Amino acid sequence: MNKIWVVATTEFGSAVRTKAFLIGILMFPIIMGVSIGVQVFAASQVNTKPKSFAIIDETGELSTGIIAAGEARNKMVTGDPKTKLALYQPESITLAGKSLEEIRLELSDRVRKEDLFAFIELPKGVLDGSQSMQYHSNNPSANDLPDWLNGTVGELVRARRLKESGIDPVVVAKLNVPVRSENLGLQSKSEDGTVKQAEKVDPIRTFVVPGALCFLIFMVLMSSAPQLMNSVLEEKMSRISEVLLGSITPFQLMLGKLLGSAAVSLVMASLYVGGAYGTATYYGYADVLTPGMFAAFLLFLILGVLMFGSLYVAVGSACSELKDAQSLMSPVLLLSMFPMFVWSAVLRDPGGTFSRTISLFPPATPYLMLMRMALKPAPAPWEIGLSIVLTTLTALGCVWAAGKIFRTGLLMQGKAPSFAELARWVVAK
Amino acid sequence: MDAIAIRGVTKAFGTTVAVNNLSLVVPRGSLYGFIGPNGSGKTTTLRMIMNILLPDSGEVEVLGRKGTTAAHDDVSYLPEERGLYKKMTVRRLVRYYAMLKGMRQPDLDSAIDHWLDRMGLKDCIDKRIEALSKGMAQKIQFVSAVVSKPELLILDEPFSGLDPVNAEVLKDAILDLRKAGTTIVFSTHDMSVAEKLCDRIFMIFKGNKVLDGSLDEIQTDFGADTIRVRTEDGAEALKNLPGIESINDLGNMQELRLTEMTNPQDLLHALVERTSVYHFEITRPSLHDIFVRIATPEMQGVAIHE
Repeated sequence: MNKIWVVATTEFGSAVRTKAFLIGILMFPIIMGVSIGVQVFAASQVNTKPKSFAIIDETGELSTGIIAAGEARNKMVTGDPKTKLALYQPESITLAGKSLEEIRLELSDRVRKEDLFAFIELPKGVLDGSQSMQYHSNNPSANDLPDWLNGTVGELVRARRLKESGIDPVVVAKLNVPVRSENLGLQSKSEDGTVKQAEKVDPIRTFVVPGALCFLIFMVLMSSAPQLMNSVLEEKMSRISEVLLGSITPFQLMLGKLLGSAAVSLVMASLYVGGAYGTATYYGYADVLTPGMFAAFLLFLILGVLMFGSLYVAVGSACSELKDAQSLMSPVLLLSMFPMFVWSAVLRDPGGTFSRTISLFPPATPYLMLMRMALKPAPAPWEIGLSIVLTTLTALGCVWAAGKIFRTGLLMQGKAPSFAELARWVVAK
Repeated sequence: MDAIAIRGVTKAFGTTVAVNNLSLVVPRGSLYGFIGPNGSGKTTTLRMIMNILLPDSGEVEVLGRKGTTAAHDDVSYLPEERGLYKKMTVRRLVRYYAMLKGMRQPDLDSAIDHWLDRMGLKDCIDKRIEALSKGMAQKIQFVSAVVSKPELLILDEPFSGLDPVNAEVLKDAILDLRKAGTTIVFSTHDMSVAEKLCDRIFMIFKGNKVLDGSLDEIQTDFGADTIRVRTEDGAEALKNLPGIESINDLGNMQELRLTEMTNPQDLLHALVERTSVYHFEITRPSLHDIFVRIATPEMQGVAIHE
């Protein structure tokens, strides 16, 4: 036990001294910050160059409406300096004796010369819906102008149809007022008999917090467990393992490494959780992380480190080269990434059969059961209990099997073993 | 009780037999040299003593213990390929290795200081291993092996790669440890080191024990059939003389081995008639000579037969 402690403290000391640890700690906030910053920056970079477009109006009555709507919109855009939108400059085209074909070519050339941004054609059938409005541009992915035109023309046509049928548009607007809805929790009765009103569902509580917990545990596991593979591989390649095995048993060595790694991930996690808690308190969400949740987080984190860490240790000890290790670790990597593929499905339907089953699958439990615990409906206590038992058993099984592989692999040099050989090492006495 | 007792041990890797039915006893307090050509089974034997490798058959007893785990606080091992963490400082590394042997403060730091000083490495204590030269790193490896005061010290090629000054420092340290009662087993390629240092010598060749005993015993076994001569005409003078089995031309001196029937006095007479003789010595073969005799292809049958 004493020697396990020596290994664990040394591993921990070495890990926190490395630049990788510092980078690992800073990486998450930096990546988050940069990605948010870039998105905000990109969103602010709207092209505000005025967009002029031509209208070939065969109906003879829509273009005035479009031009009027365009002016109203421009007034709104210029009136509010905060909105960053391009002005629209519509222009009505008359055939003036030319054929439609000639006009189209002419306008297309103007678009190519960037004299125009686009042009539209409104055939007569637009009015009764038998023909469609045609939007021509050299920039098909810019969708703000076509969307606006679509809406504007649609409104004009609808107003005209109502007028033709003798219905007052004001009455229609009144009749068309949409039904509003609120997303609420459940009503409950407190002990003194007063009824506690149901609270409004808060998207931060329901989606952001559970998602963040799941992602956080993933981040911490991914930045500590694979390090174990590198450390074992380094020891093996530089024959440090031989010296170490002269002093401690392979199992002690492995346990020490796992404990060291668990300590590293706890430090990382508490930094993140501490930061997140501070932020949450600032925005009035201090009650989000209950002590129970925090305990569950720590427990699942440690189980995760033991489970995945021992697999990475086994991979590192089985290989003699980084190249071999990388190919052998891909199944382990896949297993530890797998919950990331399904977490959004669980988030949408936490009480469904799929979510309940998958959160009992031990490699997924640390992420998904934790997330379910933060979601409603909360998992039943027996589900939490069962998942903890299953994950603990799996983690112990991984540690045991990895110990077998570690013992044999550590002194094996040369070609990386196949999975069949690894299995034989595990069952060997 | 002996420090090491190996009884009928065989170890094969696939179809290659690395060590074949080996028995060997290393008494306590002795300084045992393991010699043998590359790939003859020295390192495999040392690793089996360390329990890093387990024999296919036979048994290995170390300090009275027939364990199956390598971990042993009283045995220290210096592997042939040095194993040090590149990123650690000397202080952390030596502390770590010693603590794994069960050593604790406050003795630890003073022992580390003592040994670093002894090896002339006092200034390196806060340097990282990667900043050290190869010879310094090797001495650090030695320090980390001995700082925990092991009863048995196993050194695989401790002198390889050291310059003469450092080799001398290491040799003195080894002799001091032995004086203090430590049993030391080391493997080497350098016959002169083995000759000077060891109480007993063990030679393994192609997995078989071919020599085992004190230098004196070994040399006596091989008989006084070696003659060293220095003459005016050098190797020229020895051409076509009867009774010479082989000549090893050392430049200024020639080493001869005579056929069994030849009387050295007859050779001297013949030689004096040919040239002026400056030096004529009847001697026992050197360890180097014995090594070469055993390991040279045409002699293999003879040597193993013994």
